[in-house]
Amino acid sequence: MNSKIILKASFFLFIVWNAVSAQNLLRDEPQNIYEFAKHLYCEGDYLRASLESLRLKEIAPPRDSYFVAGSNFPFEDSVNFILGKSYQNLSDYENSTNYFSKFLNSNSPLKEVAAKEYIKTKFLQGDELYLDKNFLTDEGYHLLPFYYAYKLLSELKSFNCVDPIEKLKKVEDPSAQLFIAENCAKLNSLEYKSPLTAGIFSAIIPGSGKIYTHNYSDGIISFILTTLFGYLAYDNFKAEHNFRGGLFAAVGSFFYAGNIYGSAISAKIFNKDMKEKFISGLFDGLRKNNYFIDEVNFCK
Amino acid sequence: MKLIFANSFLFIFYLFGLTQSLEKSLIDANFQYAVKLFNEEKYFDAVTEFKRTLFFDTENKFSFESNIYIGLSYKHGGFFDLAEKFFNDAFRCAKNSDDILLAKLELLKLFLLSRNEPKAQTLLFELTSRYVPINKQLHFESGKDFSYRFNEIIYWNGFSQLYFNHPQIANSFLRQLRNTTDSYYPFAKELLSITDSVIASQKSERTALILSYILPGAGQFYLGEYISGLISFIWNSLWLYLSIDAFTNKREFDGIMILSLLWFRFYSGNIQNTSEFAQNFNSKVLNKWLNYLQNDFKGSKP
Repeated sequence: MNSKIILKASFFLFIVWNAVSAQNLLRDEPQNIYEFAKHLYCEGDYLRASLESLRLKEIAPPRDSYFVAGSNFPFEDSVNFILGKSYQNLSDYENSTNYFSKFLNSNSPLKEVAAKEYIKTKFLQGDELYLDKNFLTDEGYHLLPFYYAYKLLSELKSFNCVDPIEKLKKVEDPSAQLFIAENCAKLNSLEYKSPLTAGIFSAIIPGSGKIYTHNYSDGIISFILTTLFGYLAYDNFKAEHNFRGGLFAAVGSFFYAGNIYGSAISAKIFNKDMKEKFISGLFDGLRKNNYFIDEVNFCK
Repeated sequence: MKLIFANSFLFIFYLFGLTQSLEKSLIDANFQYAVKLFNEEKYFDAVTEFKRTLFFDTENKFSFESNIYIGLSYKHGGFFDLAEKFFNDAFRCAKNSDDILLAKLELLKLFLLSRNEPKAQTLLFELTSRYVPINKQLHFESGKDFSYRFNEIIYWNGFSQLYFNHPQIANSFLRQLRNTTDSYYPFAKELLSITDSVIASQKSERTALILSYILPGAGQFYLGEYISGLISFIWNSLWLYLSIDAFTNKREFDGIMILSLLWFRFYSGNIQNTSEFAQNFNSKVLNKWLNYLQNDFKGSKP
């Protein structure tokens, strides 16, 4: 009698357990979610990686000491790191800094990289970098050179680089020093075209202001048009066709004024283009150098 | 005693079977769940679950199906580039020639949707040269007879060529139909009649152009654009008359100027106009039928 009940119970238990586990283990087991989120992050599907990580944080209560097999990093930390990086790649900088800032007061093995990522995110966001008190502790002290490098980079980003040599001494990484010095030289050698000069040039010789701002075809066209109408007006006045002369003079002066205004605008566009080129070059270089942050070996 | 023995034996057996089948059944269940999400049109979650299946499915049992489903989900969401990537992955995971054909056909539908004619034509050429018999001899691929997919390939060839406004080519493909019991046969027959009526109601651009070359405005008349044809005729004859008049009155310079600057400009404008009208006319005819294909046609569509 007793064993019959045990038999029935064990059979029942098997059925229930099998059904429950078959539905949930793959999706809800923390280890599996973690591996899957990591895989999604490595595949570049950052949106799903962040959603899976958030789900993991909901399911598994934060435990700092819980180490995942095959990973060098504590579980909670790696998830926060994946979240920070995913949001960073999704350009959601607010959430990204939020997750990276959790590392600043911790003693996680990921702390240094996360702090660097934190600074990088602030830089990408365009926020003012300020000296966090965590960088001044004995532990965080070696982050100071990195912080100074990004301070200089954000100055470069706002087209400002004065007396870099003194400041560059604080940046200890030689490749970062070289990169900043090169970009600083590039910034200071940018030749801006003054709209006023362009306007004056065009007032003296029509079209020359546009040629001064490297806008050759427009310059030649406005020179030809203005001189053509000028000549027509002069010729008609000379032949005493006063009405026609006046008409041509009016059209000619319209072109003349337009050419002066256009030259000033052309100079402004030239400056804007140069600045955009400099910024895109700066970010290309940063991407090439991986933003001076060592790669975390999540994806083998 | 016997009962206890039987009980413990059963229990051990259960445990053994459980550990063996647990992982497989988990992946199976996850795949089924993903398919369910897909059928409920929850494409974002479906993609997540199919990706999970792909990740944990180390034996590649569902890799082909999952990739196809992910591609389909992205296609429904309008992410054609991602869909193309996953259909290509599915093609790489294909286990047999049927899978290969399925993945290729999905790619073809995707190219039709994204109006990528060069890619679609390349793919069609590949499919046709592989699966459609040349000189009435069926192609065999690794001992497999694909004659049963013949109508399907013909159908998609006809559909795509009609879609890209080549009704003549579509017609020549659809005329090769055979195997009347095939499920594609009735729809392909319908497509054939559609291409027939498109060809019948479209007007030849070449005829219109030749007419316009001979008599300015005649091409427009042929296409039913009477007012435009009349205006074209009047302008052309006016400038021609004026230039001839100038020549007869020995004002050669005026004659040359009118002929070269005015008459010639209007004459070439008339030719351009005719070609534009012909294209508009033909695409109007085609669009009417494409509209029918999109809304009322029962055959399979991209």
